[in-house]
Amino acid sequence: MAAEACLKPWQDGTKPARWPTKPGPYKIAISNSYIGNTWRTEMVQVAKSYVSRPEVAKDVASLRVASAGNDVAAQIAQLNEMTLAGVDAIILNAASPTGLNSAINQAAAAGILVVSFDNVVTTPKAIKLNQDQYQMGKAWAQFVLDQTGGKGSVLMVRGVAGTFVDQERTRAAMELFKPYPDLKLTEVYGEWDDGTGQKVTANALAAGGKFDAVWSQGGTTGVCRAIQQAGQKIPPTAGEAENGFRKLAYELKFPMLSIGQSPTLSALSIMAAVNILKGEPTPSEISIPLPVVTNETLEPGKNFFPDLPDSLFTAINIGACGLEFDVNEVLAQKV
Amino acid sequence: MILTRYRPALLALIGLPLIIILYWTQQPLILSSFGARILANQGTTLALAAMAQMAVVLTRGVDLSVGAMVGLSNAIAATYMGDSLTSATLTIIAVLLIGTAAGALNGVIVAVGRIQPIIVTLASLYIYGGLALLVLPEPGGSVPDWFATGLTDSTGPVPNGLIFLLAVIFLVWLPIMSSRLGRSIYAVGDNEGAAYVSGLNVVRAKIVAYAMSGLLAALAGLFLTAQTTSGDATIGSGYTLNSVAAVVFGGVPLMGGRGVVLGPVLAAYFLSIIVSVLFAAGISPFYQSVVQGGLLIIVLAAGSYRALSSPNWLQVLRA
Repeated sequence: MAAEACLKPWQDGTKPARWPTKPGPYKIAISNSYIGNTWRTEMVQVAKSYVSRPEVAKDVASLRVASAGNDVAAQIAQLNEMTLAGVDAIILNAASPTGLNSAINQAAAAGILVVSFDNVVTTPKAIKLNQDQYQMGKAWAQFVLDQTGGKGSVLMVRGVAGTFVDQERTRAAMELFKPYPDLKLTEVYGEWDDGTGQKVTANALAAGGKFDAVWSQGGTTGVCRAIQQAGQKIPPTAGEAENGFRKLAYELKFPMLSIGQSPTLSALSIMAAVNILKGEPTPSEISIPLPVVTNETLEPGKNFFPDLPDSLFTAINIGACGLEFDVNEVLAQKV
Repeated sequence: MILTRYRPALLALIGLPLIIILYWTQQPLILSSFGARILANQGTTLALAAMAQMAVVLTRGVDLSVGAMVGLSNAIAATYMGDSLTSATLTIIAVLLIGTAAGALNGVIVAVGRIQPIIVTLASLYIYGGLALLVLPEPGGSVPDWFATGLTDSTGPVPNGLIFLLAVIFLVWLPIMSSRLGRSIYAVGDNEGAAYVSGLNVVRAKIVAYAMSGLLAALAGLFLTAQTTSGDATIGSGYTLNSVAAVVFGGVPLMGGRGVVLGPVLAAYFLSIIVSVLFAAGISPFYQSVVQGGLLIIVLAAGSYRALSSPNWLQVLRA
């Protein structure tokens, strides 16, 4: 069924999750860290929207959400409180990949299933669920190669320096670009943010650049706008799943590839937790298929939304998972 | 006499039991031994950071590098502790020495260089924060089990974190603060000019206060390392401003020269428990920080009600 195509093992040899089964319905808590951007808000909204579906609601007795900010001590406190409260599963987006490990181990020892997603943790006691960042960087890079034929100048808009996600995505791209000495790469750090992306792209253009393709990890709307403002045509662009980027690509018809880190990872983590608690076979490290949109599949009202803000993350539907969300219903959820 | 001495800490003294009772009505299990251990572990790092901050605030300064020093200690400890008793012990000693030296360096620049503490410690925040990233560029590292459980487990019903904190207060803080040196720290903060003309060594008092701050921040970093069993160079950032909040809430005026250590310590526990209470009460994450800040202002306002209700404004201004 849907779960098998959706909750895939991270790699060959990933062990199945082993956890004592329990009768439902389950008490579930979401422990989130940072809450200051659209993605995190949507992530919480998608989770709430998901558990309000009748077929899910029968398995979920309650869903509580807490956000600790990027403060490891506060998130430890939050996990401890959830442990005391005796929930059945904790869905975790961590402030630190390592700092919460002892609190997670304590929760696991108390019989609470912990599923970490997006910013995953290192302890083997937690189930991990994420999209493969390496594959994402590779798909963007392949698009750039296809569009340029392996020569010309490419603008690489990286993310936040020193983070695992940025390293993985960039590593994949560099491996693919390496055999092409005629590719001229210009790297800037856009910090996954439209404002910063626009600024650093404008700087790169001012330094005498004209780019034949763009590889952008995020803040893609800003990157495109900077190129527009410089009076240039937007070149083929591989980017994240920002609504603004997709709107521009639809309107201006430049070649594009859009892949997003999906806010739906929260709902899928709940799905995984419920499956594991019910005893359905589920991998202990889960890879979620990448939601890919190209010029051919771009469709207003389905995978981008002309009337909604540019900052919206559109990748809320992951076909392989059979989960369809109505964007207005998601956004109507109170956080 | 004792009552007057502890009056500044009154707010925290009342506030902490109240918040614990409030928490208990939401979550009866916190009064179990497991719950007590969780509560103690949660607040001890901030309590130590608050003491670090207080040492400097007493001299009418402020130390913005407390959080960075906590992070630096955490990074060093998790990187070098290893598994053997020797390596762990050497690392602990090194962390304490580095913390003390880092604090003393702040103190020398402030006291001898006569530069505003807020600027000096802002600069050293970047330096110590940067060093922490050099030591541990990505979160990771590990600590021996005995170190982690030794500090965060319980002895009978008493949480070890609490024992550790009391040991620091009784073996480090109180002996120094009740000595001549300690009294000169208070005197310098109360009136630097008067302290100088009375023949006190103002420079030495300040350097000692900042060095103590560094030592206490290092202890906070070590406790945090035991609690998280790993290192993260940026983990300390939250402790700088929260330590200032705990100090003020604990009845130590930012003008320096006054205050008892009990206040900031209790206030630190109060502040770290609020998060859990708000979660237990099911308050939306968007409102949690609003409620946290609002609560802090209400409590502080209630505390100054007495002073404000005095008919003599000159007295209000002096308070």
